Amino acid sequence: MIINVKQDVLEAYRKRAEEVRAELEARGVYMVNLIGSPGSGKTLLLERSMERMPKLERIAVIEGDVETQRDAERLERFGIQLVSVNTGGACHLEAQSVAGALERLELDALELIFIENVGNLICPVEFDLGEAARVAVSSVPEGEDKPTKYPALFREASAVVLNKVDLAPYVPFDPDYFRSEVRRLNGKAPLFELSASSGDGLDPWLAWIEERRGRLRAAAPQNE
Amino acid sequence: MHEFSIVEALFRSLEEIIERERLRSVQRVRLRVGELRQIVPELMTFAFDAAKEGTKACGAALELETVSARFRCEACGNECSSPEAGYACPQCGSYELSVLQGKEIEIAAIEGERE
Repeated sequence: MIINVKQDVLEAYRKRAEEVRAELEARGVYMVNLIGSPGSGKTLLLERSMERMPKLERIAVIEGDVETQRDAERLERFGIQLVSVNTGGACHLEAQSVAGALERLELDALELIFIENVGNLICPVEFDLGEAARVAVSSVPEGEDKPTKYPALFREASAVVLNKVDLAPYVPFDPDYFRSEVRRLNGKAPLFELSASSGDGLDPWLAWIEERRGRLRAAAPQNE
Repeated sequence: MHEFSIVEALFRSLEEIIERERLRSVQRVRLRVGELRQIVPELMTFAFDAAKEGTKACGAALELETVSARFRCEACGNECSSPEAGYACPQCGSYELSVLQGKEIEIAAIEGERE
C-alpha cells in the first residue's frame, strides 16, 4: 500500500532552530554563524575581532570542531565565555548542539555570540542553528571560484568575508570575478574584503556586526 | 557529503512513519528534493542504501523527485524560476526574492506493508 505523507525531513531541526532564535531575540543576544573552509581563517578572524571589540565580557564563542579544542584554546586569552562542541566526526553543527551549548553559557551577561562552524562549505549550510546572521568566510588562496562552486552558502549568507587579501599578489585570484559572483548570487549581502592576519579592512566588518547587534538589542522586549 | 546527514534525518522521520502507520516493511520511499539543496542523487542513494540495513526499510528503494526552484520578487510581485542569470528579479532587478519552492526535503509517499 502507498501512504502519502508529505513530511518535511528537516522539520525537527528547523523547529529547534526557531526556538533558539526566539529565545535569543527575546534576550537581545545577536548570534553569528561563521561558515567557511578549513583554513579560511575563521578562528583568526575571531581573534582579531576580539582584539578590537569593546566589552569582551558580553561576548561568547561556540567553537564547533570535529575533534580537539585547538580553536577554543586560541580564544581563551580573551577571557570571553567559550564553549567547545566536538561533533565527533559530524561535518556540521546542529541546532540541538547549539541549544546545549547555550545552556552552558551565562546568557544574561551576553549581547553577542559567534559560532565557528565546522570547516566545510556544504553541510553546515543545510542546518539552521537559530542564528541571526550567517556569514560566509572565504579566502584568497582558495580561489575566486568558491561562490560559483558552492552557491548555496553564498546565496543565503547575511554577509560575505573575503579573507587573506594580503596574499593577492602571490596567488592566482581574480577579485573582480569573485565580487561579481557574490553579487550575482546574493545582491543583498555586504562583502568585507580584509586580512585577519594584518588587520586591514576589519573596521567595516566590526561596524556591521555592531550595527546589526544594536538593532536586534533595541528591538528586544526587555529594552522597550 | 551532507547527503549522509540528510539521510540520517530521513530515517528519523521514516521510523516515526513506520511506527505511526504500523508498517511491517517498506518497499519504496519517494523523496521530493528542491534543486536549491545541492543534493547529488547518487550520493543520496548510496547513503540511503547504507542506512537502511537492519531497519524495516532494508528492502526499500529510494525514488528522488526534483522540485525546481521558484522565487517571488518582494518588490514587484513577479514570479520567476531560473536563477541562472543571477538571483535578481528579471522584471525589476530587485534582490528581494523569496523562495517559493526549491528547498524541500520532503517524504512525499512511502510504499509498505501493514503489520
